[in-house]
Amino acid sequence: MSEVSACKVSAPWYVHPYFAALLSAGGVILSSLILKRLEPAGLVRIAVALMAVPPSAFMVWTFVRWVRELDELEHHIVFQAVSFAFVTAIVAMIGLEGLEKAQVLPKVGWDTAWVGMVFLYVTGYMWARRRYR
Amino acid sequence: MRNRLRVLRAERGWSQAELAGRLGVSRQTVNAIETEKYDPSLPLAFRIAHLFTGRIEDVFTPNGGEE
Repeated sequence: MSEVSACKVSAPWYVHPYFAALLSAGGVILSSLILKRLEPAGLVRIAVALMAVPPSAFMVWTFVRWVRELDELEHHIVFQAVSFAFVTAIVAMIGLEGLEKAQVLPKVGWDTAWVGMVFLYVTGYMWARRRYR
Repeated sequence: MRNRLRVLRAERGWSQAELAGRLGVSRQTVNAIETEKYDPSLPLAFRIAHLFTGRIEDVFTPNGGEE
């Protein structure tokens, strides 16, 4: 990834989807910890619950910006990775929902869905990248 | 699609990185085109052709092409 991304380095290091993803994940973890341990009430509770939204929006913006700067092969690879993650996530969710209804699995929360999608995207990216090596 | 990119690049003594720089793409893209794992877009194919011979059919031929 770095080989391709290094072609056009015009933004500061922190305007990168990987750094933004770290911020977003940090926001989610921090928010969960505060809600569980400190149990804030009222507006503070809402603010803490939405703590991860601004860094996540920043992540989306940096991702779109990063994709725009890629060359055409890297566009192709990212498109394949996103497609793989999207379709596989749908299939996985349908399967998990079926297992939940059959009471084979306990209830799966939304917080695990986005982690799964990130994992699927990274898997798809590595798979697609290998094809063009 | 088949291509003569590796031969044409070698004739000029350019590295993949050098050609990539001239075309404004990554070295990986040049490598993928040379190994025929990736077919470039039409604008990139024209840029490649202009850089070498000027004629797109001198660089690229279809798989079942007569040339």
